[in-house]
Amino acid sequence: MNDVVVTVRGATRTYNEETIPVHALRGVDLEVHRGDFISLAGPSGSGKSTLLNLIGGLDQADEGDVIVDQVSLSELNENQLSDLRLEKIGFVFQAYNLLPVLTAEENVGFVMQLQGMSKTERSERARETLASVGLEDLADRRPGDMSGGQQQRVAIARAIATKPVLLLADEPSANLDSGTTEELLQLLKKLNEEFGMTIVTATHDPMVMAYTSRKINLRDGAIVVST
Amino acid sequence: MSDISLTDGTLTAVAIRPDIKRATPELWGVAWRNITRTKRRTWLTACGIAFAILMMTFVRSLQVGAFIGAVDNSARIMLGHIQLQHPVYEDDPAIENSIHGINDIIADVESRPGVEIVSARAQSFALTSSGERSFGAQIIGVQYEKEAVWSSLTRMQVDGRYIEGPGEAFIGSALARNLGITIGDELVILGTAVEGGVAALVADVVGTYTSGQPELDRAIVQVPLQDFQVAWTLAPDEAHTVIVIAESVADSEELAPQLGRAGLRSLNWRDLQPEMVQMMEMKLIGTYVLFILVAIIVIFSVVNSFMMIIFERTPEFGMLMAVGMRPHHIIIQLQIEALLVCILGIILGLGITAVGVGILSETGIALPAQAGELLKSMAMPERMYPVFSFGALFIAVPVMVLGTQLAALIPGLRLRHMHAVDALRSAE
Repeated sequence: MNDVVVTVRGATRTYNEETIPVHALRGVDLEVHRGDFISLAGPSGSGKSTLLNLIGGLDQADEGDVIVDQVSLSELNENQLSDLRLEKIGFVFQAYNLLPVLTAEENVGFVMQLQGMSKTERSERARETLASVGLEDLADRRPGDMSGGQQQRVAIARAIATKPVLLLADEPSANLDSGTTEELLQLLKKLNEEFGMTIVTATHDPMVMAYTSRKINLRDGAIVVST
Repeated sequence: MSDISLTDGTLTAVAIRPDIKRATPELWGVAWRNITRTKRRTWLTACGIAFAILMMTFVRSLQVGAFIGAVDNSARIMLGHIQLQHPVYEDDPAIENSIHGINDIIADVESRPGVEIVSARAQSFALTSSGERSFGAQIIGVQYEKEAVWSSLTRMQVDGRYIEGPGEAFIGSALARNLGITIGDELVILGTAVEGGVAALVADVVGTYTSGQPELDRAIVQVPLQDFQVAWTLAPDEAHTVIVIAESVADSEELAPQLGRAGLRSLNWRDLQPEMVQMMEMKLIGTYVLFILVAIIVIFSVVNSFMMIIFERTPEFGMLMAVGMRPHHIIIQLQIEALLVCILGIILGLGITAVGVGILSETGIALPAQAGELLKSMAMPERMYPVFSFGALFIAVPVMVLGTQLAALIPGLRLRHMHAVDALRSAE
C-alpha cells in the first residue's frame, strides 16, 4: 500500500487579474502521507488556499502536477475531477456550506446520495457519523437551528461519512469562537489519531497550527518552512 | 465506481463513474424543499404562472361560450344547426334540385337522440309586388307551426303576427316599407315554377319583422309550405331543405355526419355560416397573440426569479460542485424546481378558472345595457355563458411548462461555466 496520499510536483498557478499576473503558487513541491495532519499557514495571498484547491481538484496547476491517491489530476477532465472529489476527498469549508433545507442527517447523507448509496444505508451511516462527531441528538435539526460549531461538526461529518482518503479543510475555525475551535480541533485530532484520517487544513489560526503534526508555511506562493 | 489504473509505472486515470443517476430521483425532494425556502418568491412566481393559465383558459372559455351562443342564436334565426339538401342544391339552388319524401326524412331525423325539432322548407327567388312597386325577394315556404317553435325570426315581428294558416305571408319590415304595404295588404308573388312554368301566389301580409340583419329584412318573405308547393308545382312531400335544430351546438356536430346519405347532403353550421367561422378564426388569432404576450411576460418574470436564485445560491452551488456534483445535475435540480413552481401555478390557475367558469356558466355574465338591448333586438341572450375550454388547457399547460423550463434553463446554463472555487468565493 502506497503511503503517499498526495504528491505536488513543481506546481505553479498564476491568475491574470486585470492584465496583471498574480503568481499564487511558484513551483511548490509537497508530499502528504497517509495519516498526516497538516496545516498550510501563511498570510493572506500566500497561496495556501490555492494549494488546497489544487490538491482538492477544484483548480488545476498551470505547470507541474498534483497526484492524489495515485491519480494525476492534470489528466482528468472536469467530470472526472468531480467524480474523484466525490469518491476520494472530503471538504470542510469556512462557511460550513450546509444545505439549509436539509436536516443534519440529510446533509451528511447528501454526498452518499450522490454516490448512489441506498437511503437506508446512508441514513444508518449518517447517524453513525453524526454520533462520532457528538451530534447524534441533533440529526433531525436543520442548520438554521444549530450553532456555528454544531454546523461545522455536521460539515465534518458530511466530509468523512464517505470515508475519503483525504480531508481538506479551508479555514475551518474562521467563523468560530476559541472554545468552539478547541472542540473542533479535538474532533479533527481524534479523526486523525484514532481513524488515521489524512487531513490538510489551510489556516492562519495559531490554535489550529498547534494541533497539527506538520506545519507548512507559505509566503508569496512558495513553501518557506516545513516541519 | 472508481476505475483508476496504474500502468507501467505511469499514473493514468480513466473515467470514474459513480452511480450518480441513482441520485437523480432524490433531487425531487430536495427541489421541493428548495422552492419552500423563499416562499414569497415561489408564490409570486407561481401566481404569475397561474395568471397566465387563468388568462389563457378563462379568456378562451369566455370566447368559446360567446361563440357557441352566437352560433346557436344565429342558427335559430333562420339557418338551423344542420340542413339536409339535394347534393347539388348548395352550388345550384335551382327549383328542380329538391328532395322528395320529406315526411319520412323528418320522422327519421326527429327520432334521433340530440334532435330538438325538424322542419322542411322550399324556396325560390321571385318578384314581389304591391300596387305600383315591385322588388325581388327570396320566397320561403315554411312549416309555420314548427317554425314558430324554433325560429326566433318568428318572434321578431314589429307589426302584426306570425303565419297561422294558408294564404298568409310574413315579410321583412324593409321590404314592406319598400313595397309600401302594411298589415292586411295583399302581396303578389311571381316566380318560375318547375320546368319553366309560372309560379303565382297572392298572400295577405299578416306580420312584418326586423331581424337586425338588413339582408333578411329587405329580401325574405315567408309563406306556408303548402302554398309554395302548389304555386311552384312541387309535390306534397317535396322541399329544398330539411332544417334540423339540435339540442345543442355540440349535438349538432355529432349529428351532422350521421344524417348525410345517398341523395341527401348534410351541411353543418360551419358550412351554413362560413362568415361566422371566419370571424371565429380571426378572433382566435387575436386570442393566440394575447396568449403569446401573456406567456412572454410571465416567462420573463420566471427568468428573473431564477437569475435571483442562481445569484443567491452561487456559494451553495460551489459547495455542491466541490463535493462532486456535476454542473448538469445542478441544472437538472433547478429545472425540477422550475417544474414544481410551474405545477403549483398551473394548479392554482386551473383552480381559479374552474371555479370562475363553473359559477359563471350557471349565472352568466350580464352584458352592458346598450349591448343587451342590441342583442335582445336580435333575439340573442342578454347574458354570456362561458364554456370551459379544454383546447385552451391543452395549449396553456404545455406552453407554461416549456416556457418555465426554458426560463430556468437560460440562467441555469451559466452553471456549466461556473468554477467551484469562484462560486465558493462569491460568499466572501
